[in-house]
Amino acid sequence: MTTPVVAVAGSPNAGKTSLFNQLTGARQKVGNWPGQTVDKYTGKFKIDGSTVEVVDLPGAYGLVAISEEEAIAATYLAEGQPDVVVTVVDSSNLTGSLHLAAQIAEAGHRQVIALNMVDVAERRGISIDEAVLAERLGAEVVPTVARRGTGIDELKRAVLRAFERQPHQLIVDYGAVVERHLGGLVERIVEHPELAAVQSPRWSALQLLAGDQGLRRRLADVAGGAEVVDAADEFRVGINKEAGSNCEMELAEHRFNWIAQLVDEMTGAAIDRTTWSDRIDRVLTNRYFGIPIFLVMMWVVLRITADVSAPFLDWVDATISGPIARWFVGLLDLVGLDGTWVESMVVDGVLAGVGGVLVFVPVLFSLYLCLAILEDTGYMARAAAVMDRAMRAVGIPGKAFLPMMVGFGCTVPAIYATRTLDSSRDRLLTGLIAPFMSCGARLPVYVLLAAIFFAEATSTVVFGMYVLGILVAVLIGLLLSRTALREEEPTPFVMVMPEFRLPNTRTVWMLVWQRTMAFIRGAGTTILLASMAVWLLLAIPVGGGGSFANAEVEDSAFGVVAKGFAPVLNPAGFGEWEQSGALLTGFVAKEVVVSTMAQLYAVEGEEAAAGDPSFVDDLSEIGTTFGEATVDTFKAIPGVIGLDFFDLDDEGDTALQTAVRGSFEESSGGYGSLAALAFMVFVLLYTPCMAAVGAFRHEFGTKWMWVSVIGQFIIAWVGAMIVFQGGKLLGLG
Amino acid sequence: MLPRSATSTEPPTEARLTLAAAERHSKVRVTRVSGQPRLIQRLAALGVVPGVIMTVLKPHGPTLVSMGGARIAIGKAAAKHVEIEVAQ
Repeated sequence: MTTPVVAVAGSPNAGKTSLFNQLTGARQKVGNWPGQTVDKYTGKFKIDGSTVEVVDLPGAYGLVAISEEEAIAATYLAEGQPDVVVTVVDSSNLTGSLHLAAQIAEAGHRQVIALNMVDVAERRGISIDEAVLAERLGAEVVPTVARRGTGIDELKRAVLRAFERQPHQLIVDYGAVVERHLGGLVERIVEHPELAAVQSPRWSALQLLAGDQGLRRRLADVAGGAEVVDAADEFRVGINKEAGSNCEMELAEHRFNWIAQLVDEMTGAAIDRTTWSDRIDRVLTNRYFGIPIFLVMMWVVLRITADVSAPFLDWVDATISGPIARWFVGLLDLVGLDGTWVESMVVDGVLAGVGGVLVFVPVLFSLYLCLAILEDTGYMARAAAVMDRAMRAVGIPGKAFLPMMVGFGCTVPAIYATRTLDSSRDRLLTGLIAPFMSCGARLPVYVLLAAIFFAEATSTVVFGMYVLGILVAVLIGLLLSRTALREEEPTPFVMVMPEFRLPNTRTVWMLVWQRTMAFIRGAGTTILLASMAVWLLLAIPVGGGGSFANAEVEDSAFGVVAKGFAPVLNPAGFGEWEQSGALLTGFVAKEVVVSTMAQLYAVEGEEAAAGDPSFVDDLSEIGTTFGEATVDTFKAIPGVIGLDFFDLDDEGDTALQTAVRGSFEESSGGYGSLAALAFMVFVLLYTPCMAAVGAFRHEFGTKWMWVSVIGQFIIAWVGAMIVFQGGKLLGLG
Repeated sequence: MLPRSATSTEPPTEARLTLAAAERHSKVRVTRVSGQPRLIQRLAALGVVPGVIMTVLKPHGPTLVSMGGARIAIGKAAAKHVEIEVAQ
């Protein structure tokens, strides 16, 4: 016997992903804004000796797909043939979330309703008559509080019982006009047995009348399908004329009427009162304060990221380049490999490369923590609402804001998050501009260079990079919506605002943990490989003298390739081969820019400190310095809001910093700071990484991928050149 | 493309009351919804349909309404397509 499959469906924010996690024990991310599940996830649960496979679907408000996310959910329900559908209904928003449940019942699925967040409903004084709901939908109803794990076992048992039930199809009365046309269309469908076998003919007819694109596409391949689709269009026109309204509206009006009556019977009089969440909303989405509040929030986030994490950054750096490097050398010594190319590969390749990236884990951790808290409270959706008007003015829909914010963390999920948008035009536009949002991997480059060249104003420079990224995104958005994408207007902004809530420690921790681990995993795989590749290319002598692993850097294979590319970057002030080499490897991933720099400049020799501390000394040193870092972090917190109570110790330049400074001064002919700034601009604007390119291709196709990659390179080159040459003309630097 | 109905894609021409001009704290009933097909589908899926009663929490930048337990933000371009009458 095959394992039965249950699909978990629900509108965004109904608690669907929390419920899935509770059912399967999976650690999937949950967020307080729509669009968290961008593809379907599967897991398993066991109860009373039976195993059930669970599929988590992206959030959907209905089965007539508008966004790509909804299309994924609707297509799976139609084609995946799950045995049972668990629909998560938000008890505090019954009308809104029963729309999907009603449609799933109309489609004739075996359904179990998870009446979620019953605690919130109770607090608001809503009492729900579950029996009425169960009877009307023909589904078992189980009250749950997914965030706390209440009612989960009951739900699992209800799913088992549902497998045994006959499917039940809900019939909603759509009124005389619609029903007549609907009947006509059903007759046309049943003329073709193959069409009638796809799904319930009444449900097919309803979806066609509602203009569902997914079903139209699917029917096109079935015998008689094209005819029926044409017939549906005629019936739509008929309904539009006779009802004097729009066909979709006519259907929705009757369905919501049915839901309103059901809700009335379930809960008695409708309760509609202002909550504290509404009061906060008035301030946060105020037309005057909304945008300034948003900017202040972002500023605080970046200050925390740049300043508070700095002591830990130093600690990781010292630990890796000190004790850990010594341990590795010691180990190699033990097996008699000291002084060989293996030692060179481990120390100059792996440790310099991977270590150079791991150093930035504290920075990313802080950034992810801040973003996770903002997401989980529900603020992100407000920010989208606030920004919509300004964004629309340049042709970008407000909903693009969510993917763009995700882009501050990582470009890959940002590209997938475009699936929450309402039209393919909006999706493509957002996909093209989201890579300009400065992702976490670019941050290390700014931090490194800003600390060297703009020590007095590090966070201002870093903040400036983020702002510049936004400006370029806006500019390109404006350009695209006036040229290639001018045919269509951005879809008007309509979005559900999730209720404000205090951030849940577990949810926030999961988000931070997953994103940080993804970065660390990247360091263990992509960056490890890239570092080894760079080391290998550095080790191979080309032309000149030298033997393997002992070549002059400039005469190595890497040096030759980088030198070939360097002149292109000369006008921007960073035409040294080390710089072009770092940028070349940055196509793999932006973190690699830093690790390559660390490798290239370290090659020129920074010998481990003299003396040979014992293992125990090393361990105690790691511990003590960690303690110091923690103290320094707390000292840095007042600085975030502009109060500098403590003077942080300003350590002298490290060897890497000195080498980088020298290199930039030389490449720019004395305009080191300008060249560094131009370099940062280039890193901000060019292709984020291979993974992002792959995600882009997956979502938008190969043609647009090349447009995106080449476009970004040109924009980055022009941007960097303007900064460098413009700065020189203005006499800066 | 789907055939569009000529009557309902046009924004309201007469001086009818729309959500874009609703007053704060007012209770309103939706009477008609127009606009491009995607907007209509989105509003329909969220329950912004003729006959529904909503409370205007905040009239501008964007309009924030409360319907049942849901809070929905509606941008100005969309709000202009939602015709309303004052309820009660």
